[in-house]
Amino acid sequence: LIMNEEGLKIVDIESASQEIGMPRHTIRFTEKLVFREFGAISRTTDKIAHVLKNKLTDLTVEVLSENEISISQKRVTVRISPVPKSETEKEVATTWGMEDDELGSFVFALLLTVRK
Amino acid sequence: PWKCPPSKYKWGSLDATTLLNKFTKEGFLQLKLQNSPTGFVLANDTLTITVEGTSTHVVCGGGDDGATRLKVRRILSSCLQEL
Repeated sequence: LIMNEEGLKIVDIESASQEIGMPRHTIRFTEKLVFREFGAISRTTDKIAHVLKNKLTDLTVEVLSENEISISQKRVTVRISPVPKSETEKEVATTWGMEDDELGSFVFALLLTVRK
Repeated sequence: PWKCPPSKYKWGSLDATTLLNKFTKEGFLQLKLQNSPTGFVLANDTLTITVEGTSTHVVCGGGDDGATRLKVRRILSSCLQEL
């Protein structure tokens, strides 16, 4: 809600921060985990996607490619990549924005339980 | 709970030296500061904080179940204003 000479108006947060000269600061987090997983990247991706779909039943979980999963239209993304010089490990990186901290932390906590 | 939009937003910018001092004070002793053409990077073996203008990316890989990230989030939040 912005009040100026012209009166009151309701605008979205991006326009509001620009208009009043307070640049919004965005923070993104990435948490990396190493999974003990043999075989192809896509196998780990499918395994993780399966768990996320089961646990996050009210959200959209999509496998975007053989190494990327999107949760709720990319509010949280999970990327799986090979660990250099290791046949038995995969790196799993979960990324989310500060405004989605609850969801991102929850997904990360889920992945911690998958890893164990 | 994650269906609700956030009630608070951060704004402002981060100063490299202030941030490094604050992190050092909080026990992050091995962080190195590197300036980049668009901002700066604070990093050690398991943590990288990349600041470019008004966007910051925190990458944690210490295998500590998220404790470092929570600490970093608290420190960064204390350096920014809230709207």
